[in-house]
Amino acid sequence: MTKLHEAKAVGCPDEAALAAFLGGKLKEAESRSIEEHVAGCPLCLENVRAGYLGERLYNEKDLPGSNTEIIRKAKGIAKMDSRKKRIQAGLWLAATIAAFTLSFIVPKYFAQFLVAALILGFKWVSESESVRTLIVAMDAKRRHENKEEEISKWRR
Amino acid sequence: MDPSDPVKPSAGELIQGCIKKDKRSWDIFVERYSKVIYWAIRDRLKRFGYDFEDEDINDIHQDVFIALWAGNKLAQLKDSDKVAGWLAMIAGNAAIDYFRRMKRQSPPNSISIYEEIYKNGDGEARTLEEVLPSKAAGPDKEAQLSAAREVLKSAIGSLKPKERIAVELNLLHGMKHSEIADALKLPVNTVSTTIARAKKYLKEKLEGSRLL
Repeated sequence: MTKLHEAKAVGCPDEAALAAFLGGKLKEAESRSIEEHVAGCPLCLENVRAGYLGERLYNEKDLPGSNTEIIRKAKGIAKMDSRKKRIQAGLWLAATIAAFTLSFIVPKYFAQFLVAALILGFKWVSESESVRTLIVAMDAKRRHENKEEEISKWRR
Repeated sequence: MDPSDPVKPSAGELIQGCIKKDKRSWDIFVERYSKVIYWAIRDRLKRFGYDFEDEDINDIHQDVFIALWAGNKLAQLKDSDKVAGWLAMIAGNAAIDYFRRMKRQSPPNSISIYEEIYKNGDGEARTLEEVLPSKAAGPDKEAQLSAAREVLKSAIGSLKPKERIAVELNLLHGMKHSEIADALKLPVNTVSTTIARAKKYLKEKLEGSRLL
């Protein structure tokens, strides 16, 4: 008999390919190759069943409720993620300021601390969402001004 | 936008929003798809005979959403029209991974189709064990069952892929002919004929082996 935990081996199509197979979105050759695999792979067949029934029950709105607590927890993942990023960006900023201050306090290593401040500052800019947004906004503004200049040139 | 409701974002818009880490899209996405994920986890755990509690489902539910947000799994989805089905597969596989990782339990060794051949038949629901000669008992009966399974295994292996999928979805997974037709994009009549023909062939093989 086929052992399920051995059946999920290299060569099993991923869930996206199985979903495309169920949606009839694959080319004939791709579809046939997945069909041949699924016929001999109990775990992929199980996924085909789950994919089909999941889609159908969802569309028919025929699913039992989940609960508000786990929905709240799942929503919290995004908040936790951004909080973690904010803390990380704050740490880079603090390290930048510390390296910059130290370059004046310890004149002997002025250049070294300044370079460290530059590297840490660059890290802060790249990690910080708000700074990135600001750069994108300023870039968009600059491009908008250039475009206006070009338009006015054309008008002239 | 969802054509049925202009205020509701479509699945594609939501997915793009989540990939771009938009928190509002994420909140709507979680609300919309939590139920199908919850269903798929419970379904897989029940079907595989795991001993589970609600707490396990809650943990797996959270694992799935972490993989979708932090692991950026949504970027792998090719067809946003089938997002609910795709999520059901992701959730089912996450349930297996969770039990393997946290409880050191693998999926069942096998899911046997063979005992089901005579179920869903022409009105008579009998297991393979029941159709074997009743005289045999103990190790003899076990040996006969094992031999019968081998015959059926090789017979099923000789079916064409589409026939095999249809037969297994029907006998092993209990799906109706109309559901299989819908899933495999085939006419219902074709599915019914295929399943009837394949079941007849499997019975003939079993009876031809003189095990019955």
